[in-house]
Amino acid sequence: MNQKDFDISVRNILEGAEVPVSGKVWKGVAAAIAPRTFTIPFWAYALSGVAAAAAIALGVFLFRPANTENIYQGAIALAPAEVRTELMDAKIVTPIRKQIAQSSMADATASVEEQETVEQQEAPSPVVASVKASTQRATVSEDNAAFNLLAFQDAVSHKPRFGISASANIQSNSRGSFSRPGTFAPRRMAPDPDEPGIYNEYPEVAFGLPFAVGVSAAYGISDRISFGIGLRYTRLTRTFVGDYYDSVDGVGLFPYLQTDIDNYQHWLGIPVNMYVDVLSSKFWHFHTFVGGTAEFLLDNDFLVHASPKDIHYHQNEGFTSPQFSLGAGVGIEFMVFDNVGLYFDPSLRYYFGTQKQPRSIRTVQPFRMDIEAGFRMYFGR
Amino acid sequence: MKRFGIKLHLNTWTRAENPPGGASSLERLVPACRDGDRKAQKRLFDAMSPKMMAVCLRYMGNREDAEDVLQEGFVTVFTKLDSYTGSGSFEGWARKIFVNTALMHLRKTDALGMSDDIEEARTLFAEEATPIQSIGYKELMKMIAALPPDARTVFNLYVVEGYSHKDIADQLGCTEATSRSKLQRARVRLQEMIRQVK
Repeated sequence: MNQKDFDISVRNILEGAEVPVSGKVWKGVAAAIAPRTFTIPFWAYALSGVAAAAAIALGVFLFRPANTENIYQGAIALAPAEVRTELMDAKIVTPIRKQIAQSSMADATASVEEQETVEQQEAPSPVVASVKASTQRATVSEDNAAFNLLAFQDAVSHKPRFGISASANIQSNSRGSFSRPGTFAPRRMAPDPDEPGIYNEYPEVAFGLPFAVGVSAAYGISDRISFGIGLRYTRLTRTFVGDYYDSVDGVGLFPYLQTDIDNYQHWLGIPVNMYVDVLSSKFWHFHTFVGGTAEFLLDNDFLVHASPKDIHYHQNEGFTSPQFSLGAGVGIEFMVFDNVGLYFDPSLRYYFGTQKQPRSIRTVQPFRMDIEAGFRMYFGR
Repeated sequence: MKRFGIKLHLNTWTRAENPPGGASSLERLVPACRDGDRKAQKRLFDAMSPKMMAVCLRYMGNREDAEDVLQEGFVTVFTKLDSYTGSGSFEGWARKIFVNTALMHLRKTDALGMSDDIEEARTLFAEEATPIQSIGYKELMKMIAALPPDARTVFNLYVVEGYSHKDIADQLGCTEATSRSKLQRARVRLQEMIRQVK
């Protein structure tokens, strides 16, 4: 028997050979090919709820009318009938408001003493005196708050109407697993079997810190409200283990190697925001903002670590739809010069339609914490 | 872009790919599997897994590694079904994936130490082959599993899959002479084992 006959005999014996398979293999396969579902973690719901509640509470507190008459009227309503007329004639509120509106905060303290003097001179009955005292304390306190608000509004009224800003932006990142065994397919990568590409991704992945830089312009339509629009470049990175395949025409899939693969995504976004100043002084502004961003994929670049030379691989086809996101947050700006402010804008942002986008930290965790910091220069005082 | 890979000679497996009622019934399951029908996927798995397990076992040499390769191969098959155009047999298409997955695992574990030992190969080449007709496939698979991983891989690729030495050299990153040497070493050792059984 020669070698060729030996080979043919071996092949004939092995042809059709079957070996039983244990049940755990199917379980592993089924788990790996099951559709993935992502859920927003509880902490994200809790955090967004707390943020929304805080924003509403802040808004209610800061934007309510400074109506001290209400307190006085409330005291009158609660007072006994025999002192009601006397209280109504006391006219406590109006003088205080007049003084506060015309003087500084220190003067406001003095006005309280003045009113106490006036009260002593009028010598009302004990019940009336008690109601007056409590009403007056509340009124002075409220009017001080009203004074503060007037002072802030005074600063806001001098706020520049137009500003441009340069900013840097980072988002939270993570490192972990998709919590499923086996591999999963990349999105829209190398759909043609004759096309080289990454055909499998393994669950363990490390996401780099998302980083963005941008410029924007804001125009104020009122003392408190302004709108901004800008351009923002964002870089997303991740490292994962994947199978890079190559092929020869007409033959089909060939594994080339299983290795570490770096993915760099470059995005250009157009953020549009509405800002509402809620507190201001000469040196700082506290604001809230809400807005949306449309981002477009510039490049989806893969670096396949191989020997002797790394392979660069781009996959941009099929990712034409923009990535939309909505965000809301609060921010503070410190005026380092008369017309230059340094601002910090933390926010929560949600990315929509991520299933149509290349895999990134946004597709895994679409609810993101975002911190923007930058300088803003104002014009048109 | 630089191209890698080699061509397969699939005609070697023509008979195995078309058993009566086999390949055609597999191909009928493909559209449903593509749509994510779990029952169809399970049926396809049940129909193919024993045969593919034999393939994986021949390359890996032990059941545990073979099942790992089998699982990963099936995941690739199911996730890459869109790549199957229907121009060839489905089993042939899937088989390539399992073979390639096994090779990838062997590469990853550095089991393929491909050193050149051409002189030894020349010496071994002169020996006469031993008849093996009376050997069953289970015994033969055990013998193949007992071969060193590098020789076993070359033997499987050349004798069973039908690769040429050039293809094997490209795939395994060795010279054609090394491939021939490993093949001959595998043949000789197999024949020794067969003689001992007889």
